[in-house]
Amino acid sequence: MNILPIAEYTIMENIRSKIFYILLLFVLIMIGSSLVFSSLAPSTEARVITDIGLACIEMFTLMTGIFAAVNLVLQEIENRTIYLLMTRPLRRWEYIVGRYLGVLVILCFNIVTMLCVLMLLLKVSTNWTLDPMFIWSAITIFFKMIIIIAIAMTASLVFTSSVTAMAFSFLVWVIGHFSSELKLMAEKVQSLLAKGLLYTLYYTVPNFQIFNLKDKLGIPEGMPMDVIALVLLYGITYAVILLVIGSLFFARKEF
Amino acid sequence: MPAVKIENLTKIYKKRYFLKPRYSVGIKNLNLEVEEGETFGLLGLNGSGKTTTIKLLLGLLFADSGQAFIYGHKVPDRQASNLIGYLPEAPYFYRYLSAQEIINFYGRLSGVPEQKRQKKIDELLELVNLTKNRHKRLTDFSKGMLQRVGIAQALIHDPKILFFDELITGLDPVGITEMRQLLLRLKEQKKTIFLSSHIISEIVKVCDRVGILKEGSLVRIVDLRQLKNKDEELEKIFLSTVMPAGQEIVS
Amino acid sequence: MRRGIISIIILAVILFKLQSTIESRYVYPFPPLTTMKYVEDNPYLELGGLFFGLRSLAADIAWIKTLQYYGGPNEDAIKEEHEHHTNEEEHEGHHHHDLHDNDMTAYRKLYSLCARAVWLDPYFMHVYSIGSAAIGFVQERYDEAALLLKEGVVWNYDPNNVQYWRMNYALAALGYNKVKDYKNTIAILEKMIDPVDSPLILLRVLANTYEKNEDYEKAIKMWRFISYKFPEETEHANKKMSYLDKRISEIK
Repeated sequence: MNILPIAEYTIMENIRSKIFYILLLFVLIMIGSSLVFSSLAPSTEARVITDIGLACIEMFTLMTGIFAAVNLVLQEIENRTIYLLMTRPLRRWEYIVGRYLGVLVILCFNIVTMLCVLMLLLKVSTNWTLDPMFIWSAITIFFKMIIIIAIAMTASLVFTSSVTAMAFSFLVWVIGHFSSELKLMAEKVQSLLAKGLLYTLYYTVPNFQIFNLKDKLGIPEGMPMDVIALVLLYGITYAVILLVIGSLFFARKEF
Repeated sequence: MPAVKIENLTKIYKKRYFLKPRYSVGIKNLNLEVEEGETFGLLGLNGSGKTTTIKLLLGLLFADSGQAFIYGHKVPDRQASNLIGYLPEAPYFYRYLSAQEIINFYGRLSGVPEQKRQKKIDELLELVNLTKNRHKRLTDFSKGMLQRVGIAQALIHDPKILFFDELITGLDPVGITEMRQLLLRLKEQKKTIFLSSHIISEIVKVCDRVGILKEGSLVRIVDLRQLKNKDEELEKIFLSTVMPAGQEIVS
Repeated sequence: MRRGIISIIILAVILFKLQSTIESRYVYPFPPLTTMKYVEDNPYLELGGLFFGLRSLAADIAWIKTLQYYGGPNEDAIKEEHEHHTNEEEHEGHHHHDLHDNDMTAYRKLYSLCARAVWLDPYFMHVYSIGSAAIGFVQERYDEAALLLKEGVVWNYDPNNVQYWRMNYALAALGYNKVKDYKNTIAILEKMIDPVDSPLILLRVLANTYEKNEDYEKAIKMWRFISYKFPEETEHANKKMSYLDKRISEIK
């Protein structure tokens, strides 16, 4: 099984690039600046810091994740480093899965780092106490990444253009958050064509809203654990399908 | 069993140009056999199909028709990959890794067990004279040094057959001499070597047989072992083969 | 190739099954787009919040904008109003009942700004409690305040949460205040307000209601507590306390 060495060098590639640290530093500053904003809303400081912090973590992970994912394979084809890999006894799908897992490990590391900084900030500056939903909202941010990274990577293999793949992933991200609204619209709309289109979108685009626990932090009934478990399973299944599609495209690729 | 066997191999490149497909010939009905332990050179002008042939054998490209075998394995095939060492025409490596790390990485991919791998890495670094620079990142390497790393990675899993595409292109005279010595040493070890070049004088110094490619077809195979004045004769044969009929060289 | 396609089909079926199971258990926790409340110039907060899954953050920004509109975190605007009336009374010797007879057109957008924030995040309790206090008790637009609170009660039903009960109390207090039944207003406000974690505006509402009920001693006590807990309020509290002292001596 050659997935591990591929994942390892993907991690190494990221750790050794300077831009990675500059970006991370930038986000930590952004999270820190939430202190300034929170002072504008007295008696809701903890909420404002949490919201800004989690939004920064998600957006940063999304941007770096999509950017890394669309370039993972295309960059290697362009630099022709792919030649030496593909002449090794490495199955093509192993390469895809290894690259994918490598990026996920990096993103997981990013999320954990930023989350620690955020929690420290909350602890120091407010009378905040840790709510298990807070941790779950961070975990579901990671699961959103599991899906969107698979989408970005597969899109890059299908479109063979990093710009198109990025735009596509971004579009999916937006529609995915709008998913529940799409269904409501589909139920209301009269035209059969529009109805069909909306339902198709609703059932094919991943529903990111169900992963959006960070917007559900204040909700009284919260989200039951068994539903969270189903949601996580949904995320993994979605990603696996995309990786299979990506691998099928990659298997036919010539260099 | 021949090391390489190619039967009626054809590759046509298809490019879409405003939705209209455009075709260009990579190689056409190629037939070739290379014996084990032989050093075979592909000679041809740029665009004659040398790299296409090698990429088809390595599984980087897929043939439109015909087939090719490496030690009896029909390519593309993972078992065949284990027998192949490949060095592309320019050394494309991950610049953020050190010489040792990159050789180790490719060794792992080829399934060389840990202990054997470490020993082999030491040996190879010594062979290509990089022991001192083993922990330096490839960003700081010269082209000649990168080419030597390329040789080392191609040998890490002890392959039976080596593919070198334009081995000496872009190297300085010292680099060229180093590479030639390495090739001769590999030849002594009875490795099968399949290389491509457009530099006749270099091919002559190492190859046993030479195939001349012209516009995707193998037009002639020359056995250098039967030539007396290899350099001059091969040049003459080559030029007369690749030049369009009726055109004479004015010397 | 064929194996790949077969596995895609199998996985897609599993995915569909999962999705419909989740769907049956998952309630979309937000008001739908069609009920969008208030659009300032352009709905960038609404769209940003919806499309990027950042509703909670968008609500925070909407709330900060509301606070800035209302005069910043120290509620300077209220202070000005109070001072204005206090001076007037000193000159003309008006009865304190008129103390909060505010200009009804002041801060007209306050309700719609609050409604916007809670449309984005209907679980943002602070908006209901602080917003309704400002609209209802300070601006005396009882109907708007009640509308806001009712929304909060509908979205946040949770008998185990003290915040939920506070909204119900606020609704009742607002009703009594509307008919100038200050005794009952105070009775409910005292139940509702926990001095330790209540926002400034509610403490001020309580102090002012004591004053309206001619309960000057309690009002002074509350202002003292306010100036202790919110040092930035000391100046205003001192003014209030000396005014109240004057009233006590007048009565005597």
